[in-house]
Parts: sequence; structure tokens; C-alpha cells
Amino acid sequence: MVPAIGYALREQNRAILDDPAIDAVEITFERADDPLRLNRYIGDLEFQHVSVHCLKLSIASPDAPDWKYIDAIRAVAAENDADSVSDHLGFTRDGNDGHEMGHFAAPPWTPAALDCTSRNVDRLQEAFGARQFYVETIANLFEFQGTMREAEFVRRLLERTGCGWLLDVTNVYANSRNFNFCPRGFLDEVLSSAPRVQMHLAGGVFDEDAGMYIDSHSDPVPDEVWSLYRYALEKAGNRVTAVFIERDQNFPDDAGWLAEIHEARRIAEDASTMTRI
Amino acid sequence: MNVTSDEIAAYRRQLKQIVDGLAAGDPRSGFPHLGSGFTHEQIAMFVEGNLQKRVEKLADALIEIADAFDDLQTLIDSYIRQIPLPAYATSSTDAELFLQWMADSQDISPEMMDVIHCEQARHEVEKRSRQFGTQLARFQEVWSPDVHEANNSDSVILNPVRVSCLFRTVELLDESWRDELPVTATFYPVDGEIRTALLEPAAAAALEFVSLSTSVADIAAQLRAACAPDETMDVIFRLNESGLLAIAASARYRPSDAESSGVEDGDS
Repeated sequence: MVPAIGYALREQNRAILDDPAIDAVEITFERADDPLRLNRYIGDLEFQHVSVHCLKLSIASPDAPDWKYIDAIRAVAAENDADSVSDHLGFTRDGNDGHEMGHFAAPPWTPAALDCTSRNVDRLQEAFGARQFYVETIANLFEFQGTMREAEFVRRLLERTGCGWLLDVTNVYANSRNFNFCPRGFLDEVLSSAPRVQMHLAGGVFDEDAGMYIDSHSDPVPDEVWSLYRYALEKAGNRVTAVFIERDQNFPDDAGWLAEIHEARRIAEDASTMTRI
Repeated sequence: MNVTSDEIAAYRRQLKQIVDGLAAGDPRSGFPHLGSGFTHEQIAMFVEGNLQKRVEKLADALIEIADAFDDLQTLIDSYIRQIPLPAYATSSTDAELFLQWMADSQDISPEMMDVIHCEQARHEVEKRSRQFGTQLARFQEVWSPDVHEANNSDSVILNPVRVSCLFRTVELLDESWRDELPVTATFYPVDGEIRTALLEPAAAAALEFVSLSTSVADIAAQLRAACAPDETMDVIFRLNESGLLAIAASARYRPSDAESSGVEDGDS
């Protein structure tokens, strides 16, 4: 089975979203949550799979996400007939009365962080009901001290909550390159516990000053990520529900946008005939 | 793997220590918690990246008024180092906080204060549009700009979101308004955008007469004290065209359809 494939919606790719090759779309909650907008964010377009991607649920915070924020996400999800909601495995704030760092950081991989994160995910899954919730593993610049590896933490989270895994393939590639571990090993371990999977694909850059590969969403998807994507599809099989390509800078022309979608679909169709055991 | 309440409390303290520092632009709060093999420079890069993103988003949120400031970038840099972002804050919230910080802490000319108040009014419109979304959606369904005829039984409905702002200079006005300072401007949402209206006495009186809904006949009768009889419908039609009120044919709208709005005018 080939998953639904599409783009993270940006104003720069709206024009191509009605292409027949695109049957999925991911909308960023913060962009869609506009009190002045009259029509739904995806307009009149229909997709096989619509996902609402959030940035501030801060699921690894000790406090559960605020109900007002959850309700706002639910409203956007309902308005756009979303099938799923996702956010990142990390924290942006310490508590509901605290401050925001801006971008999320991964929590320390500890039992206490796992406990808080799991309870938050349980609460969110209950709140979103039939709309399935996915947790995205992020590209880390560093890690805090922990008592387990990230793969073990994620596996336990998925097993305990039954939520989906938003496998950002580029993030796994970036982390494996920056911190020297086998990306396929990471996928093998976590996929074994993922009841369902979405994927992100993107292209980044190598920052010479930092000596790190950065998931900047600024470039075409590199060959190494396409290869890892194929591997993940073969391993996950029918559990993959949707794939979204992300681009936030250096936007291509219409042909460029569509070329990546076609490549993603070609690989998915090839992989659907193959199961990696 | 059982987790004790003490461990959860320790985790809460750990995150508070990390976030308090990193949100204020100080990476050092993360150093004691750094994992083996990771460097201070990596946390510093994370913090600097976050600050840069916050600056970019804030500059974008203030783009309409950027030209009014001599050095907006310097002001933003100073602001973000003094005021951490509150939980759940959006770039719109950050812009509101920046404007208040400007008004409270900077040496502001009357002209600049008008610019700040104008932007604050626009943000208040957004906030109230969210708060009264259902009423606003209902208003939008009923409103059409191209109404040039009305029956006496037609209803007149106020736009549920209106924010007032007092301009004390002509910084944002045509010079012709100078003799009438201070001038009240009304900000309101319609058709997916925020509009501004400067109301002359008859138009202002018309809005005063309209409660949640009233009939065209009622409002026209009350307007006769404020303007010439042959101008009353013209005032109503122009207010309809602007989007400050909607003339709704009685077949399309019944006063009993209205929900309680709790709308109030606010002064910025």
C-alpha cells in the first residue's frame, strides 16, 4: 500500500497542491490559526490525508498542555477535516505559567521525562479522539544527561501510549551524522514499536562553523535521505499512513516542487512491492 | 519502571532552571545538565538560533510600522533580552508585549505613541475576533458591501468587533484632520482584513443608535436629529459598505438569531 504523499503547506506551494500526485497535506497549526480568515486554511482542496502539525504542545513539559490551546487545535483540525495531529518530542516551556524558549529541545532521556511525556500524550489522544496523534523525533543540537538512549525512550513512549511515530527521516539522518550512530539501527529499534508511522522529508545544509548538518528545510532532499526513506518504507510497510515533504527556504519553481513529490511517490511504489524483514 | 513524585518534582525543577535561562538568552543554565560528549557551544548555538528566530518573527509582526522607528532592530534586540516570551505566546503576543514595553520604557514622542496605539488597536481586533469568532462569522454571512436599497423592516446589525483608538497627532491622518484633534479611529475586521474608519458625527451617531440589531426604520428615524433627512439612508448605506454594520433583509436574518456578544468598545 502506498501512503498518502504531499507537502507541508506553505503559501509558496499552494499553487501545485491540486496536482493529482499530491493526496496529502500537512498544515502548521500556528499558520492556520488566524482569527481573521474567512475560509478554511486548505480552501476547497480535498486530500486523502490531512494532518495538523503543531509546535507548542511541549509534550515533554511536566504540565499538561493547556485546554484552551488544545481546543484551538481541535477547531483547526475540524475545520480542515484533518485525519491526524502531530507535534514534537520535546519541550518549549517548563510549565503553563512559565516562559517559552522558542524552538523545542529534546528532554533528558529519563524515566521522569518519559512519565510526563506519556501522560501528556495520553491526554492529547483522548482530546483528539478519532484524529490520531503522532510524535515527531527532532534533530538535536545536543542532549541533556539521561539514563537511556533516545531510541529506547521513543520505543517505550510508543509502547506505553500507542501513539504514532512521525519519523522525520532527515532528522534521523542529521542526528546520525552529527552524533555518529547507525540511522538504520535507530529505525529498526523504534519502528519495531510504532503502531503507525508518518514521515517527514527535507533537505538541509552542513554548517561549517558548527561542524554539524542542520535540518534547515532549505534544499532538495539529499540522496542519503531518499535512501533512508526507502529503507523505512520497506521496514514499516502498511503502517505508513502519510509522507510530507518540508521546505521553508529557497523555494523551487512548480516543476521543482512536483519533481520531489514524484520521486517520493516513485520510491513508495517501489517499496510497496518489497518487505524488509 | 515506576517513577516517584520526588523524581517528577526534580524533573520539574530541572526544566524550570533550563528554560528560565535559555528563554532569557543565557545558555549557561543548560550547561550543568549537558550530556556527555556534548558541548557548551552546541547549547549556545541553540539559544542564539532561538533568539534569532524570535527577532525575525517579531520584525515580521511589526512590518507595518517598521518605518516609524529610527532603529527597530536595536529596540527589538534590547526588548528580547529583557522580556522572555511567556508560555503559549505567539508572534502576535510578542508584538503586543513589545509595543507595551516601548510605551512603558522608551522616550516616545506623541507621534510615535499614536503609531503604537494604532498597532495595539489592530492586535486587540485580532484578539476579539478570536474571542467573538462565532458572532463575527455570523456577521460575515449576513454582510454584503453592495446594498443600495433597504426596506424599513430590514435589520441593521453591528460588526461585533470594534476597537476605538484616540489619535492625538496627524502622524497617521491626513493634515485636514488637524483642527479636529484628538480624533477617534475605529478598527474592525471584515472580509479577512482589519479596516480603519474615522467617523463623522452622523456616522458615529448611527453606530451609537444600533444595539445588537434594530430595524432600518428605527435607525433612520433616530438619525434625523444628526443629519438631513435625505442623508440618513446614505449614512446607513456607507456604514454598510464599510463593514461596520450590515443591513440584513428580514427574510435572511431574525433578531432572535443573534447570540449574546458581550461586545464592548475599547480605547487604546
